[in-house]
Parts: sequence; structure tokens; C-alpha cells
Amino acid sequence: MDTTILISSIILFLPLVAFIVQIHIGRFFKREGDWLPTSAVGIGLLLSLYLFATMLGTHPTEHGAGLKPVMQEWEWIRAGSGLGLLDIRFGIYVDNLTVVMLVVVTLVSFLVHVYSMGYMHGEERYNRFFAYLGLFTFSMLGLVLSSNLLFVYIFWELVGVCSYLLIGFYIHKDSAAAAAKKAFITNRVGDLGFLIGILITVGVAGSTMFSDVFASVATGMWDNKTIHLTSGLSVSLLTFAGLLMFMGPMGKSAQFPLHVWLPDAMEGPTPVSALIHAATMVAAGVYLVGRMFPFFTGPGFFQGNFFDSPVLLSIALIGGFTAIMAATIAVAQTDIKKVLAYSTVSQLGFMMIGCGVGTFAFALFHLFTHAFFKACLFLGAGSVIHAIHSQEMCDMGGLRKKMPVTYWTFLISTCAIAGVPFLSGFYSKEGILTQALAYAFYHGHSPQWFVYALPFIFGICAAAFTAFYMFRIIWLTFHGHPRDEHKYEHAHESHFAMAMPLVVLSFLAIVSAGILPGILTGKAKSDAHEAKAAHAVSEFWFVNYISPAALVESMPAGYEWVGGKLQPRTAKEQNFLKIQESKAVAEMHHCHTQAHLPTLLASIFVASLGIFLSWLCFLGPWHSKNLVRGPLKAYHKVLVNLYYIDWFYLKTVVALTYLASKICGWFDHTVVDFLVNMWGWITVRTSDVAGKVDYYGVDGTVRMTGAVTLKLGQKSVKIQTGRVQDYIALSLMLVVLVLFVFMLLV
Amino acid sequence: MNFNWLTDIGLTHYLTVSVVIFSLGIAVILAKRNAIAILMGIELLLNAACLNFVAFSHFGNGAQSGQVVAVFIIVIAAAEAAVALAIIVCVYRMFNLIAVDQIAKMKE
Amino acid sequence: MLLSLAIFLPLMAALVILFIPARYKQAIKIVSLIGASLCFYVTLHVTGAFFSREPGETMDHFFDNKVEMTLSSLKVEEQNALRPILAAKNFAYPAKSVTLTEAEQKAIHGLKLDHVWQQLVEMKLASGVPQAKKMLMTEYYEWIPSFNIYYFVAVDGLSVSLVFLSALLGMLCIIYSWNIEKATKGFFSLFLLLISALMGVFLSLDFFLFYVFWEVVLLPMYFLIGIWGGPRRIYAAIKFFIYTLIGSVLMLVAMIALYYFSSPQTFNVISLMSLAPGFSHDFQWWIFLALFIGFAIKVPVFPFHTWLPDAHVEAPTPVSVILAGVLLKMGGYGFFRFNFPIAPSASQDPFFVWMLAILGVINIVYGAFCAMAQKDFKSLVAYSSISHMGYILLGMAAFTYASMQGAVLQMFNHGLSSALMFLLVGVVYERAHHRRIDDFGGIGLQMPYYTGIAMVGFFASLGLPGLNGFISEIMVFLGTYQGFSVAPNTDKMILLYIALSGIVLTAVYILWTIQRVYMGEVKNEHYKEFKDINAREAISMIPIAILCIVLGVFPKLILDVLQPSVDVIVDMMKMLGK
Repeated sequence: MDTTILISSIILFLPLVAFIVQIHIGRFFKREGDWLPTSAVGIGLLLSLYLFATMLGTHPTEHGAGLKPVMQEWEWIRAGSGLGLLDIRFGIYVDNLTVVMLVVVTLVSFLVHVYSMGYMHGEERYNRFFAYLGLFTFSMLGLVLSSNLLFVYIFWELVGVCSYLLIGFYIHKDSAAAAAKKAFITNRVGDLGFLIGILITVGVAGSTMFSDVFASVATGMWDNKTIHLTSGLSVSLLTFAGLLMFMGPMGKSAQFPLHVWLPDAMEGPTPVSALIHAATMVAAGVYLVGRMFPFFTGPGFFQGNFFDSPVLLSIALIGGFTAIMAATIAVAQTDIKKVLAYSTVSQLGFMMIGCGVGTFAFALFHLFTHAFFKACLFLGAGSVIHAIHSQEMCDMGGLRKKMPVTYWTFLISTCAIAGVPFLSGFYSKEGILTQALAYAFYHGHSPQWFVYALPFIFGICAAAFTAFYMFRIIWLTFHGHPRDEHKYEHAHESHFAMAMPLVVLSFLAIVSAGILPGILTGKAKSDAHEAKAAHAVSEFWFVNYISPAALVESMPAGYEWVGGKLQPRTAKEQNFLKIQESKAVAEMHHCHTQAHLPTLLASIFVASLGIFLSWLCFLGPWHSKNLVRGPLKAYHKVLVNLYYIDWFYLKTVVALTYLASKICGWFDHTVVDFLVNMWGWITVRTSDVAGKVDYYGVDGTVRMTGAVTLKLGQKSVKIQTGRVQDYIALSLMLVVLVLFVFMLLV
Repeated sequence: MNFNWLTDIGLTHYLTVSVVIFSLGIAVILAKRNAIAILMGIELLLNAACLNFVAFSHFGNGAQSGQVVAVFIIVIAAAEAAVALAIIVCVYRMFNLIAVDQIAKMKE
Repeated sequence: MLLSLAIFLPLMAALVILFIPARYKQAIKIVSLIGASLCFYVTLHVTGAFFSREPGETMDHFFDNKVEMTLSSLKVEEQNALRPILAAKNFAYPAKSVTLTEAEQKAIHGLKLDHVWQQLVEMKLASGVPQAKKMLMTEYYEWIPSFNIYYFVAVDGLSVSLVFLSALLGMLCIIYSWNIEKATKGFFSLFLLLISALMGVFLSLDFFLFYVFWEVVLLPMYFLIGIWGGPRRIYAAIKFFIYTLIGSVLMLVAMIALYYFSSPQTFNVISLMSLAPGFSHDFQWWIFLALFIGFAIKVPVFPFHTWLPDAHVEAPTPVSVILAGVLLKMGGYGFFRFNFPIAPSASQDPFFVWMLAILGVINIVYGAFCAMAQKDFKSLVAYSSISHMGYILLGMAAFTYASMQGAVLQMFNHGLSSALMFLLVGVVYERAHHRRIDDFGGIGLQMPYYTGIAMVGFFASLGLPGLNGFISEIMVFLGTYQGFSVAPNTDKMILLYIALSGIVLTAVYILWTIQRVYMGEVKNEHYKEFKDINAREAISMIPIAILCIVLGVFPKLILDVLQPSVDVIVDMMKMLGK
């Protein structure tokens, strides 16, 4: 077994073992066993960092930089043979993307474990909480390590159920129970599409393995396959499958219209919100889109053209819309965790924009940086909540003096998410927006250019709103005067277990984009510069590792990545791939250069504008004025009601399902069962009639015979007087009679 | 007027006498209430039958079987009388009377 | 010998119980537990044969040897007469009906060998059928010679899974029933009789014998529901009995028709498989229909399902477990064992394929909606069974290797998960003395262990990956997609999409139930006194929960057993198609 595979397996299965031990006998250990999953994840973190360092230390080659993908598979389900073969394997697949995700997951998970030791201290079911965290970590690691779609689906569902268990952790709270159910069911709706997408993919490609799926796209197995939705309307099967498969990420990453569960999921304990509903699980959708990027892009991917796919356009539009929608809602929320939840939805929208406009590398980079600063924000919010026992921002204010560590770390992360230059969020967001603008330029001549420009417009507006509402939290929570003196008095800085993760995460929020990898990859970078002339290796470190080339690195032998395009190795296989001189690549490069400066200026401008406005409104001169008036008032109402989306679902989908269940229940009870009972009733009535006929008809005849005989007997009994002489006289008469008759006859 | 039938005694005469006796016997049996009288009526019946046998034997083909039967009948009559009288005594002891119309035990 | 032991051990225990005076309740329970455990032990051995390198003599060899033995036990001149006739006939699968010329008939008749000839032909036919190659542990004795009825049992991957399930659930239910105090003697002897009959149903391969066991199952079930059941037990018991009997009648008609139309006349299922392809399509059509309705009532398939909720709601917990876990599988087993191999042509008839697919989808979706509407906990679980049974029909309609295996696996998995769910409902019913879902709430905090097991049971039913239900569902879906993506089935694809919505609906009603029962605020102060599960309940539930997890993670364990036997059915159909 390859060392990398071995290490990944250990990273994967340690939390599972920890979970199994912890759930059964955890509470008998010291400290209820919280150290067990924590140390399991800790070891995982160290191993992941080792892999990460290995990746960064690898010399760039013409294929890009980083690890050579390795894969190991074990048979799991096997049915049929030949064409009907169904062969599902459990596989571990490790490449750069996997390693990055491993680091994100284990790092955030470890810090959240540590944080929870402080935050959850003394809670009921403390041991179970850690067991669930362990199970979640295992599932999430499984998701990023799987080598095929079906196992991604399996772990996808498993993280869903962990999320369910943890949202509903406060089991006695009705709202938590409802939120957990809502989260799981909303995700299931998305998973339904995901599953159909997988079915279609298996149907065409015959396999769920990523490399096989990519190969099926590359070799034209999807060509000329269309699906007729209605008469006259037909789409290519690849697009259809891609859109359906995107439903999975829509559910998990809370994209419109399936975003409704995420804000409700804040019912769970705050560390859970940080780990699952901000940093890792919700990012799984983005991970999947990144991992399946060649599939979503379609055959164009293999000519280096990521910009003409209808699926990707849909992803960009959905992401953009989600980003702006959630950002606006966040402005009107007063619950600190709800604001952060909508902020997460909005940032996930950003990542989707990135994927949609063709730079999945920056989308994943945003995932990477976002995980740190958003986890830090949530944990900071948890720290505040822990201190004043309230989630409402109107109970806070002025806390910076009482909680300096929380304040400073929170501020750093807020700056990072708002896009303050030189912090990590700025790099990732800027990368996405640049590409979005380049995408708009690229399609500038198209008649529907406006549609292609929408992702950028949505994105830049969402960025402004982000700065606005994030600093709103800062002003309302940490600055100004305490709104609730009593709570303020009792507030105190959290102790080490909670403060340490905040510091680490905020440190990462500063350095994760530029400085740290810059130092780590100093040598690799200089190598990259040398390689740059011959091969397309980007300046930015992350993009070197998470490149399109790396994604399809593991494709079956016979293909290789040359000059930004996938090419068959031998002439014989050229039939499968139509090689064209791709103008798209060159043109996009041109657009990208054009877009660079405007985006840079625009994003710095909108960030400053957002921060300034929010200072103006919440701390500065306007803060005592009632801003919500006039036309804003109506809009504010819409925002407070979350654009009536939840309400709409409740009134339509939920109500309809409920109605359908009532109708079915009624139908079953009243119609189907009635028919059965009626059949029974008819049988009983028929038997009644038959019984009557039998009683009065058949048996009646029998009884009548008896009755007649009886009557005759009763009549004739009178002859019997008991007197001998009567008998003799009678017999004599009879003799005479007989003789008389005899004589008459003779 | 021919009175030959008076002197020329034949079978018919015997039979006539027998019928008369038989009828008298029947009449006694039906009419009398006393059991002993009824027994006497039965004796008459037997005798009527006996007379018939003798008569037929005499005027028949000469076989003497009729006479034999007559002797049998006489014996039987004697036996019967003995038995019947015994029954009557029993009845008398039980009911203290021998009027047959008052004894209707057989009805039960 | 093992199979007969498996069938008759519980029966023997029941007989022993009959001689124990009714007041020795503990002794009765112990004897029945011993009987059921021995039976389970025997089935472990039987199951073990499917994992071993040398599984033993397969049925085709058994019959070949038996033919040779029968022949050599005859006199020389009889052998000389029979051998050439036998050699002249073609017994290869699929066989045309085996008829004799007049001269041959005279020769056989002259030697008074008609019966021997009949036996020989049956065995020859049976040994040619591909399915016979997967059958182990054949036992073949004459029972009613004048009608060619045999005591004929054997086991293959299809039946062994269900035999294992019956024995396991039977044993666990007897443990669970330890607190039955009402007419203990009657309860346990009837229960053992039920286990015996179920074993017989899954093992017998003589149609007549199968029918006898099929009917014997009804009897103890009727009394178990009718005596130990809830308030409406009489209604439920009679409904169950009569409904099933209607199905049995149709099956009987099909059985007798098969007997009289086959040549030679036989009740041997394996021989019938060889002869059946020779029957006309119309005849097969009617046979399929009659058998289908007979089995569909048992499954149950919409619209024949309404006996199920009533029977479940009224039945005592252990009886519900057997009812859902094993009795429903009799129908599914019937489809696989009888419908497909005996009416191969009809089973590919577009009418039936459509019917199976549509009824499957209706079962899935309609059952889920009905489950959502239920107020009674048990009735909800009953409707969820109906929903889950739909996957079996869908898998059969698609008829690919994967979908058929998924369908068979679904039977087994549903047997586990529904059994666990009924036990779970029983536990909470014993404490709360009611089953109204809306009146529960917050039990999770009071009974953490119980809730842990409940999560396994409910999530297995929901089809969560990592638990067994998922494996069968995904196999049915993948296989069905394979089947429906090729002509002439492409227009059925929409049905698959509708069926897929079942996974959301299932999640809705399961999670809604969990929310109302286990989570939220404690609605009744009384619930705070609930004790967590005791040893009796734990012992009866934990093995099932463990199996749910193990088979969810390592499906190969059971798939390797099922695969040869299920694949051979598909192969047989394909062979006939050519």
C-alpha cells in the first residue's frame, strides 16, 4: 500500500474508532472521554499537515505542482456481469485537492474539539457530543477521500445525519428538533437530484469513479445523448445530469432555493455551527463542484474551455443570487448566529460563483480561507454567547473591554471576510471577482451578455453588503455602550480552551492566503517561475496545486495533459478526441488581464464603502436615528421575513405534502379499506340470504314433514282409548272394511 | 213349501250355526263390561271356529285333520281360560274391579 | 437432514410444551427458547455451508446419483427396458413435455414401472435446471405417491437468507415474549408452530408441500392475533385470515392447473421450471396472474394491503415482528421462486412489467404518504413496510442482475429493520400503554440507550448509508436505471424518478416521527419515570441493530450468498429469451 494511502486511511479511521469507543464506553473515562476524539483528530491533523507539507515541497512539473494522485480501491458491491455489471468499490483517492480539504477539516475540527471542551463543559450528554463530533469528522474525511461518486454520496448522507444529530443535540428543545428535521429533509431533496445524477452517470459511464466519469466525458460517451423533458424541449443528457447533480451541492451548501435549513441549523450548539455549518460540511458542496468540475464543464473542459457550459452558468447564477440574497437578509437579522449563518450562505454563494465562472481553484481557495475566518467568527460569537447567555445583538455592546481576545480575533476575521486587503479573504474573493468580470468580458459580444455579467454584479454587491453587515456585528457587539448593563457586568473573557482556537484561527485568517504558504513554498515558487515559460503555471501558489490538470491527472492511461489541454497519447486514440486550437483559452487570458485592475479597485472600494456606511449607521453620527423608515421600512419587513421563502415553503411544499398525506390516509382508510370491508359486508349479507334460504327453504321442507307427521299423530292418538273392547271393535270394523274392499275389487 | 232344508242337514247349516255362535261371541265381547263375560264370549268364538273345523272336516275330502284341529282348539281354549282367569284375578287384585271399560291403563 | 431439523425442531419443542402443565410457565418458556435456539443453530450451519469452500452436494448431482441408484436397484430386465427409453429423451433445460410412444408406454406399463418412470423423469428434469446447481442439502422422500407428491426440501441463496431471518427473529421474539403471562402455553406452542411453518415455506420445493406449509402459517397467526391481540383483534385476525386465504385459493388453482397441464404431472417446482417454458404464453399469463395475486396479497401490494395495518396494530409485538419481518417476505419469495421461473414468458410480458413497475411506484409513494398520515405508531411502521415493499416490485420490473439482487436484499433488510422498529414500538408501548405518536415526546432524554437503538432502526429504514437499508435501495435504483435505460423500457424511466422521490418522503415521515416521539419537550410527567430498556428487550433488539450496521458496511457478506441464486434466475430468463 502506498504511504499516502496508509496515512490517509489512518486519518480517516481514527475518528471512527474514537466514535465507536466514545459512544459506548466514553462516559466511564476521565472527563467523560472528551480527550479521545480530540486526540484522534489531533493525530489526524498532524498527519494531514505532513501530507500538506509534502505537497508544498514537491517540485512543479509540466502537469502542475504537488502530489501525484494515488488511489486504492476495495470491492464493496458487485452484481451482474458484462454490460449489466454493477461494480461499486470503496476507494481512497488522494490528490492536492484532497490534501487541502484534509487540512481544512482536521484543523477546524481539532480546534472545535478543543473549544468544545470549554464551551460544552457541564452540559448533559457531554460524552455523546464528542462522539457525534468524532463521527462527523470521520464522515467528512470520508467525503473528501472517496474515489467515486457513490461513496461521496454515502458520506454526504452521513455528514447530513451527523449534522442532524448535532443540530438536534439539545434534544428537549422543540425548535432544535424541528430545525434538525428541516435540515435533513431539505438536504434529502438536494440529495435526490444528486442521486439521479449519479444514476444517469453510472448509466452512461458505467462507473462512478471520478476518473472514469471524466474519461467518459472526454471520449464522447455523452455525445448525442439527449433527454426529452416535454415535447419539443430536450436538453443534452450531460447538462441534465449536471444540473441534477448540482442539486446535491445546492442542498448541502445551502444555495437558493434550498438554503432555508442553514439559518435554522443554528439551533445546534455553537461549536457545531462553526464546524459543520460554517467551515466544513456546508463547503462539501463546493468541494464536489470542484471535484466534478470537468463533468460540470462538459467536453469543453478537455479543450481548456471552462466558459461555455450551461451547467456552470446555472451554478454561477444560482451562486450569485444566493450571495446577494443572503447578504441582504443578514443585514436585517439581530441574532448574532443568524447573521453569521446568512453570511455563510452568502459566502458559499461566492464560492459557487467562482466555480460557475470557471475558476474553481479560487472557489476552493475561498473555501480554504473562509473555513478559518468563519470558524473563528462562529467560535468568537460562541464566546460572546457563553459570556452573556444571549444571542441577540441588542443585549450586547461595548464588550471589547471585557473580552479583548475575543474582540481582536473577531475583528481580524471580520476584516478578512469583508475583504480588507492583505488578509486571506481579500485574496480569495478578489480572485473570484476578477474571473467573474473576465467571464462577463468574455461573453461581452453575446446577445445575452447581461446574463453573463450577472455573477459579477451580484458578487460585487454582495461583497459590499458583507462588509456592511459584518462590521455591524462588530459595532453592535463590541463597541458603543452596553445595552444590557446586567449582562455586561457578568461578562468575562473565556478561558484558555476557548480562547486558544480563536487565536489560532485568526492567525490563519491573516496568513493562510499569502504569507505562510509563501514561506513554505518559497523554493517551489522559484521552480515554478522557471517552469512558467514552458508551461502554464500560475503565479498564485494555491492555483498551482488545485489546477484543472490535477483534477484529471488520474484519468486512465492514454491521456495526458499538454499545454492546457487533454490529449490522447497515441494517434490511434485521436479519434476519441477532437483536438481543436482552442481560442477560448487565449481569449480568456486576455479578458482576465483586462479584468484584473478594475476588480481590484472595485473590491477595495466596496469593502471600504461597506465598512464606512456601517460605521455611519451603527456607531457614527446616524446611529441614534431610526434608519428604517419610508420605503426602506417595507423592504426591511421583507428582509426580516427572509423574503418570505420559508413562509412560501411552509404554505406550498410542506402544506401540499401534508395535504397529500392526509388525502392518501383518508383514501386508504375510507376508500380502499372501505372496499375491502364492503366486500366483507357483501359476503356477510350474502351468507345471511343463503342462511335464510337454507333455514326456510331446505330445512323448512324437512321441518314441515316432521310437523305434518306430528299433527297426524296428535289427531290419531284419540283412537287409543285404552279400552280393549274399543280396539277389538275397531279391528273388527277394519276387517269388515278390508273384506268389503276386497269383495268390491274381486 | 219345501222344507227339505230342514231335514237335509248340510254344511250350510253348520256354518250358519257357527256364524250365530260367532256373532253372539262378538256381541258378548263388545257389549259386556265384565271380564269374565268377555272370556265367555271368547269361548263362544272358539267354539264357533271349532264347529267350523269339524263341519269342514266332515263335508270335505274326508281327511280328518279338521277333527284334530278341533281337539287342539278345545285344549287351547282350556289353557286360554286358565291363563285368562289368572289375568283377571290379577287385574282384580290390582284394581279391585273387573269392569274392562274402567280400566284404561293401556292408553298410557 | 439439517433442513428437516430446521423445520421440525420448533415443532418438536411445541409438542414437548403440550405435555408440560400450563402452570409451569417458566419451563414452557425455557423449552420454547431451547427449541428456537436449536433451530437457529441449525440454520447457522445451513448458512455456513454457503460460505464454505466445499458447500456439499448440489441438487443436480443429488438427482443424477439418485437416478442411477433407482435404476440399479431394479431388476436387470427392467433396467434394460428403462435405460434406452430414458436415454432417448431430452431433459436439457428448457425441456419440452416428456411423452412416451405407445410402444414405450406398453413396455413400461407391462413391467409395472409407471411410478418409477415418473420418478425418474421428474428427477432428470430437475437436475437439468440451472437453478438446481445452486441448491444444496436436498432431501427427497415420497409422501403421497398417488399424486406424485414428495417431501422435497432444499436450500439456495434466496431461501437461506430468509430461513436465517426467520430463525433469528423467531428466537429473538421468544426472548422478547418472556413477559407473556396470558395463556403462556398456548402462545409459545403456537409461536413455535409458526416458526416451523415458516421454515417449511422457505425450504420446500414441492408445490404441494409448499402450499401446505403456506396454509399452516395462517393458523397460528390467526390465533396469535385473535387471542393475544389488541381491542379489535377479532376483526383484524379474521381480515388477515380471509384475505390471505383468497390469495391461497388462487395459488391453489394455479398449482392444480400446473399439475394437470404438465407432462409428466408433477408438483416438483424444479421440474416445473424445466417444463414451464414449453407452456403456451396464454397459459403462463394466467398462471402468472393467479400466482401474482396470491403472493401480492401477502407482500402486500397496493390495493391488497389494508389487512396489514389492521393486523399489525392489533397483533402483540412479537407477532408483529414475525409478521413484518418474515411473513411479508413469503410473498416476495414466491415471486422469485415461482413467478419468474415457472412463468418465464409471461413475466416478460409488457403488461406484467408495466404492472410491476407501476404497482411498485404506487407502493413506494402511496405507502409513504399513508405512513405520514398515521396517528398510531404501529400503523405508521406498518405503512412504512408497504412503502419499502415497493422497491422489491420495482426491482423485479427492471429485471437486471443488480435490481433483482437489490430486491432480494431489500426483503432481508426490511426484515431486519421493520422487526427492529416493531420491537422499538413495543418497548415504548409497554411503558406508555398507548401508541398515539402525537402524545409522545422527549423520550430520548429519558431512555438514551433505547433511543440509540431506535436511531439505528429508523435510519436503517430511512435508507441511511452505512446501514443495511441503503444497500438494497441503491442497488434497486442502480439496477432499475440500468434496466430502464435500454429499449423497450425507456418509457418507464419516469416511474423510476417518481420512485426516487420516495427517499425524500421516507425521510419526511421517519424524521417527523423521531421528532414527535423522541425529541422535543416531555409532554407527560409520567414519561419521566420511564426506565431505559431492560435486559430482555436489549437482548432481543441489539443483535438486529448490529446486523443492520454490519450488513450496511459489509454488504458483500450477504450479497455473496444471494448473488449466485439470484443471477441464475436472470440467466434462465435470458437463456429463454434467445
